[in-house]
Amino acid sequence: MIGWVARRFAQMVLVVFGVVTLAFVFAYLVPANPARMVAGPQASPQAVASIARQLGLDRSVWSQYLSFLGRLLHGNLGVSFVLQGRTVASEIATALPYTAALALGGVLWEIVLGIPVGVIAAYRPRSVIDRVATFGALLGLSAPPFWLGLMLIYFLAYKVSLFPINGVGHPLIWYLILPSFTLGVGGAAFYSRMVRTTVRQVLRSPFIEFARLKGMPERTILGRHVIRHALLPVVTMLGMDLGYFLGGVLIIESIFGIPGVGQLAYASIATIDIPMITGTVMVAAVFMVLMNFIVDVTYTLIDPRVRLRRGR
Amino acid sequence: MSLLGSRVRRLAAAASALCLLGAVAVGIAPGVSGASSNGVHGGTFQIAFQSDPTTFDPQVCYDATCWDNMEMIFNRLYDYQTGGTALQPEAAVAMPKVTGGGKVYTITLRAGMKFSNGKPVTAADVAYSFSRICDPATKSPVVGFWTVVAGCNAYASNPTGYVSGIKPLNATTLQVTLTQPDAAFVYVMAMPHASIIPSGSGAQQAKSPLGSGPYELASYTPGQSIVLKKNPYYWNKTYPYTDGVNEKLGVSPQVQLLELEKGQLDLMGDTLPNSDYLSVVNNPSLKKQIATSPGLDTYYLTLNTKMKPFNNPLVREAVSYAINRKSLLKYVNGQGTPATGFIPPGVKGYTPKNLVNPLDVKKAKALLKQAGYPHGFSTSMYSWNTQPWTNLDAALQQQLAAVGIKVQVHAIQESTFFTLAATPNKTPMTLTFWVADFPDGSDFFNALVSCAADVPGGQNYSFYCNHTVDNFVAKGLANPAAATTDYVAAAKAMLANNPIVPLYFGTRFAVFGKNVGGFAQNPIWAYMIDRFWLKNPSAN
Repeated sequence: MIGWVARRFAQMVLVVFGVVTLAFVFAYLVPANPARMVAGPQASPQAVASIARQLGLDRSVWSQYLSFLGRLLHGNLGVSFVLQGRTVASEIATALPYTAALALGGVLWEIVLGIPVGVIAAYRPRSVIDRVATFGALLGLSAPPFWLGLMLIYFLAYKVSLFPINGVGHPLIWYLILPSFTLGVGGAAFYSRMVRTTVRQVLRSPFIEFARLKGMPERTILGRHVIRHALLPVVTMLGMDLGYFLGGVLIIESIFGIPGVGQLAYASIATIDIPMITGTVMVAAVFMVLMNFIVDVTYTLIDPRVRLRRGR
Repeated sequence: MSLLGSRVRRLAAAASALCLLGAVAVGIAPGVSGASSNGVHGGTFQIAFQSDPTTFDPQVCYDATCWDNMEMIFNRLYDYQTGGTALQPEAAVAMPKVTGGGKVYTITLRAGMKFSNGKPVTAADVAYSFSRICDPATKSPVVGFWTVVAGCNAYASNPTGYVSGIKPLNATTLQVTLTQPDAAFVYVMAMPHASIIPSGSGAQQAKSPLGSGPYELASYTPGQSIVLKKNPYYWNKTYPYTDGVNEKLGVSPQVQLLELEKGQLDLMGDTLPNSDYLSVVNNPSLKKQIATSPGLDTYYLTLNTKMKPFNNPLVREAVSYAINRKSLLKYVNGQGTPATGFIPPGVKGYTPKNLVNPLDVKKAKALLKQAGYPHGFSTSMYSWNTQPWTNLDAALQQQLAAVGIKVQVHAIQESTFFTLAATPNKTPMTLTFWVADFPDGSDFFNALVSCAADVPGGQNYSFYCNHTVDNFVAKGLANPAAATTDYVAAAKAMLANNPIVPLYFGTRFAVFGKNVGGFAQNPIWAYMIDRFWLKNPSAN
């Protein structure tokens, strides 16, 4: 187990390093001058050249990459080109809690809506509940988040002032209900279908029949056997969802004005703010590999047949 | 980013200031809507922006959000009238005394001015603020405007003390010496970058701005809000009208409009999205809350004079006859007027006389034939990938196709556009625009069509150089009284070669809340929020 963890950890570091290097390289491949973006469209060529020198952009890409790596090894993500006097680490630290709260909220909606609806629909196939759930899932899957978000804002925040229109404030949860719902509803729809299918399969398995025959109450069957089976694929995907959301969810963040990592990443790409691009990409990569790892570990807890060992 | 990028709006705003300097004022008259001279004091003004400011440092600021804050937190020596482009003394007590053949500016400061920490504003603070622009470590984007100050270039290699041409003579008198006469310099001293900060405070300004303006920063929460409160030491007893300003951050323009309609906002910090324009102008309840004013900007096509086939003057002339300007304006909700020249109305050098070639498809085809392209040719045009550019791209493509020019459009990201367009032999045509930094035509000529700008990395995307044009502009700068004549002559000489084809002059459009009194757009600042009041202060 310890050996496995060590090997996985080394892999994770490699993946993150590779992703960050790619981000750095791509940022330089874009035919755009970061100094021009700092200086603004009206600045003279002299001003742009002077700013490029101040940012170290007149040095070779290699030497810039090496100093970037050197800083990274000291845990220093650098200073933003565009946001004056602000470090990448502090900007990410400010943005991350909002993205994390939003991501957790989104996953929570996926679980709270997706799993029960899937289970109920599986227990009562072709019932009214099942049909409503099917229709709802279709809606949830097809509604683009930018449209759904704007509709929710318009009707629930603007027309009927149930929720704040925009931004974050106190209490934070109040400001996150609509955005996290918008974020989670697509996944919830998807999971309800997936859970329905797996639960239907499990319900037809011999061991469920056996449990019923020996007189086990239906509630215990559901809790002890059915849910466990049905959850296995869901856990993997929920974990990956969470990892993905934590990297920043740009569309939701910008529609609802949430100052998260997604908006930070987007703004930095638009302005070719290289330190901020590599920083935000690194955060996304770290969460992705970390969640991957956690999912693997969680597997063993849900299904004891899965063992973490060499060669897996 | 709707009509123009948000930063661009500012630039546009900036563009416009007009007027001034003594005799030859080409000003836009102050037009204050619902103006009554007795504003109401009190209340908190509510505004929202899509983006955070990238900095609060006035010597660096060039984005929309910080631009508005510069007006509120700092003072310049000179500033614009509320709704107009005429300059008036602000931190200075009078317009500068210009001697030494137009090279020496002597400025006296207003007595009794204080920063919001209670310390007096002195000529040394002004000298420090100005010198900072010439220090490369500041990374100021406007250093190009200041190299005309004696010693600015030398200061870059040894930034200690003040720039040699910037001298505090005593606590309230400052002398600035230029290397050559430059009538536009007084406008440069009114740009946000010339805001006055306390000596030695440069390093703190990016995050904790401190100035002598009508408001001071109370708090800044990145991504959420900027809160300003009245500067207790502010010298002007009339302004600001409101006790404070709340700026919400991270609010998209669409949501800003919703909040404004609900009465939660007094003003949108960003321009109205193109897609919402019609719904706003047709909304009866918003009718009285709309303002339009000239944009002080020119939208134009560049034709690369060093690239085939545009290195042939006949081909460029053909393009100049192929444009239907009126029809183009339909693609931008009519927010502009057909260009009649290079310099837009409100900027010195504008002439109501028509200097551009009219639409004449026959003539354009004949010119192409004469140039050796009887069946036309194919070429590429570059622009930003946002509104209104993508709309205009399609329209221009059609218009040029009518004379036989097949245009492949490359709508690309802003940052890439700047680099490609400024690289020699990359972009045969570009669709772009320029907003005046200040209301003097020299700004357009020097940046866009001068020999000095005909370099890689510059903004002369036509790579055009004509010393006759440059000489007219230099003459205008040396003799402001006759500058209009010189700038018109420069425009005529330049347009005869067609390195660019002017398309239209933009209009600025704003929606404000129903509680706002004294609203006026300012061509340079866009808004001067300290001059607006709330009709019902307790409602906010």
